[in-house]
This record gives sequence, C-alpha cells and structure tokens, in this order.
Amino acid sequence: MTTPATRSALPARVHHLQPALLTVVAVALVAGLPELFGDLGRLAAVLVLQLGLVLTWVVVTGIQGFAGSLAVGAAAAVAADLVLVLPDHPELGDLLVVLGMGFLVAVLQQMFRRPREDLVASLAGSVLLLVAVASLGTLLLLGRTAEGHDRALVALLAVGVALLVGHFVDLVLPRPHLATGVPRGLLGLVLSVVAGAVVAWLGRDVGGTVGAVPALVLGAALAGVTAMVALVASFVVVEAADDDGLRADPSTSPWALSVVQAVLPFAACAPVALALQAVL
Amino acid sequence: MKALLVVLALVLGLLVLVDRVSVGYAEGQVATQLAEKGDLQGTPEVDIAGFPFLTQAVGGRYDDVRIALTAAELGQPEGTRADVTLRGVQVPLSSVLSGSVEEVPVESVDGTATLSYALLSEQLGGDTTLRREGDGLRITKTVDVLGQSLPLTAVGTVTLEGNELVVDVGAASGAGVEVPGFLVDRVADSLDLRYAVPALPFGLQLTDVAPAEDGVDIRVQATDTVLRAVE
Repeated sequence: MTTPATRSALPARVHHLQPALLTVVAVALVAGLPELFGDLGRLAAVLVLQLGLVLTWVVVTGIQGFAGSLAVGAAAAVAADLVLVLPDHPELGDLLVVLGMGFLVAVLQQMFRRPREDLVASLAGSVLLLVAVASLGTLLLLGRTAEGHDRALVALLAVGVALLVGHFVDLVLPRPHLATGVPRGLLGLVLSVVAGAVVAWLGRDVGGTVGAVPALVLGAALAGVTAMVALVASFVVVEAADDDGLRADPSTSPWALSVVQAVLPFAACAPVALALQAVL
Repeated sequence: MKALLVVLALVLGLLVLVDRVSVGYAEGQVATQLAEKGDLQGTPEVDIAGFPFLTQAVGGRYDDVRIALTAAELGQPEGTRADVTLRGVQVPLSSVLSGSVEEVPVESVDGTATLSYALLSEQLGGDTTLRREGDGLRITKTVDVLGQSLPLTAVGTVTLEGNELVVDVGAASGAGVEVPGFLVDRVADSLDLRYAVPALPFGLQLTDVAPAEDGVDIRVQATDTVLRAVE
C-alpha cells in the first residue's frame, strides 16, 4: 500500500524563510544567553525552545487531548531540565527516568480522554514530543563539557548554518526532490552538510585546538543529522498543512509550523554533538 | 506520525543493542588491561554497572565498576580473593579511544580482600593452622618449650593495629595431648600472631577485619583517589 503524495499548501517562501528566521533566533538564544547569564541563561534558552516545541508540536501534529498533551510535554521538559541541572554530576542516562515516567503519563492521559479518537497517532505524537524535549535538554550538558561552551558554540553554529543553507538552497532550487510534495532537494542537503563541516573547520581552534579532520567530521555529522531531521520536519509540516486532509487546525499559524522546522533539528543534534565532543 | 514512531523505536532498539555490545567489549578490554598491567595469572571479572553504558561513556564518568579477582588470577592459595568496587570513575572517552589514559580519578573505592587461611599460615611459618571459630580464629601451632615440641591450640580475636592484622589469643590448651598447665601459661603468648598487610596503593586504608569461612576478610576504602599504572 502506498501513501498518497502530499501536496504542500504552504508557499515555498513561507516553508523556508520563516524557519530560517526562527533558526537565527534559536541560535541567538542558545548561544547568546549562556554568554550573558551563564548556566542560568543556558537553562532559560533551552526551556524557551522546549516549551515552544511543545506548544507548536501539539498544534501542528493535531495530537488529541490538547491541554493534557501540553501539560505532559511541558512537565517532561521541566523534569528533563531539572534532572540535568540539579545533580552535582548530571548524567545523560538519567533522562531515561523522565522518558519512562513521561511515557506512562502520556498513555494514561490518552486513555482517559473522551472521546478517545486517534489514540495510536496521538500517543505516537506524544512519545516523539517527549523524546524531542528530553533531547533538547542535553543542550544543558553540551556547554558544560570539559572543553567548555566555546566548542558547544561551534557545534550550535554548525547546526544553525547547515539549517540556513539548506533552507536558502531549497528556496531557490529544491532539486532533485527528496520526497514528493516536500520542497526539499538533494542539492540543499549536500550543501548544508558541506556548510556545517566548513563552520566546524573554521572554528577548530575555538575552545582548544581540534584537528582539521575531527573538526570536519564533527561538522559534517552534525550537519548531516540536521539536514535529515530538517527533511523530516518539512514532511511533518507539509502533511500538517496538506490541502486534502488537514491534520492541524486550519487556523494554525504558519509560524507554528516554522517553529517545529527550526527547533526539531536542534533536538536531534544535541545528543549527537555531546557524543561527538566526547569522542573527537 | 506512526511511521516516525516506528523509526524512533528502531533507533532506540539499535541503541540498546549497541549499548549492551559496547559494555561487554569495554569490560573485556578493562579486564585484559588489568591482567597485563597488574601481572595477573588470569583475566579478572569486570562489571561496569548501570544502564545505559553509552551515556556514561559519553559523559566520561562511570557510576559503579566492580572488579573481582580469584585466587587463581592472583596466583595465591585457594580461598584468597579480592572484590573491589570503584564509584565515580572518570575516564574521558576521547582518552580511551586515543589510548592516552594515564591516570583515572575515582571518587571512592571500597574493597574486600580475603586472605586465605592457607596464605596466612604460610606467612606465619611453622605448622600453624588457622580456622574460623565464631567471631574469632582458632590457631594451632607447635611451639618449642624447654627442648620439647608442644602442640598448642587457642582461640583468638582478630583486630587491626595500623597496617597489621593482630590475632590475640586468650587461654591456650594442648592440642590432643596433655600439657602441664604451667607450661601452657608460659608459652601462650607465643601463639599471638601479627601479619603485616603489605602497603596498599592508591591511598587505600584498612578499615575493618573479620574472620570468614575461607579466610580473613580485610576491608579497604579510599576516597577521591587517583589510579595510576604501577611503574
């Protein structure tokens, strides 16, 4: 059985320019606030991204049980942050507790709502949201590694630039198409990976010298994950804004879709960046 | 959305698989390194506790690492063994991969070394035999008194005095033979035993000693220590 091709109701400019603008805002938040206010600024920036994603994800994906899903998502975000902020030696693995508890609460929330429509799809959306907000929480650890927040800054810039390059290239030339109906092309994907690698290479001397090859690997890997998740995010918003079967509320602001496009790649890249910094 | 969830589940499943394979590999590597650098007769059992392992590796900090060494691995008489638990072991993953680990900070070390009765008897010389009796030790030894060899036996308490394991005997008696009381009183003190525990590395301190079935259990402890390769 094949899925009918989706057809985007969003103009290409809205699909690319708004997320690009929000990407700049996101990078400014996660890179700028820690510079100004230290760990408190980092916490504030991460919390803003998490809560923004919770709100827009619930709207965009059309998860049933709006208020409950918002509450579960927001509580998971706060819990994930506390788990990574309060202990003297915060550990990434402690997020499993948040995910486990969050999953149970999400199941209960979906089971007890009335009417109980789209149960599996809504639960799937909730689980993905939990993973995304917990993953965003790892940005709190990224700047606290031994190498300091300078290397975190380079990683975040690589992700941000990769996202921007991908959007701008796909705005002009989304060819060859990677998925039917999604304004994303292979050229944009490749160039965004190259851009991410170049940023990491340029920043190889920031926060301690890193070899040229490890820097390129770090940048390319982060940009690769960014590009792939940006493609997934594009697919999600295209599906949400689909003319034939609106998943989201028809009155949903295009900005909500753009927030998902801008923030989701950071969520996917945060643990990857943390792991790569430990290895390289 | 369901498709994304399936992909996520597959990725998580794969990560769990990689996690378990990695922890097995890491335990094997640590055991091999310990056997080589510690000049052991065999490969010890290493257990890196806690789940997930990969997040500990990424963080460069391992909550709980347990090492168990048997008599054969230590090259010591049967009954000797050592069980060590390291908590808060800090080893950056990049150092592990580049093979540049030279020292390992550890928040705390708890260990129990069992000194077998055969080992202690050998160290104490003669025909000394030791076995557990209640909370103390029964010592049997042949002593020379006035040119005569007298087999004596006594029950003593085991304590620590600094770095020495001390067995202080009370009343002694002849072991299977009749020995005049005045002779027993005269030589009873010769059954007191002192065994100097070798100097312990990594700031380990002796904290407790207690007789066990196979030997004497000595507990050691250290906090905020650094493990370095023995030169």
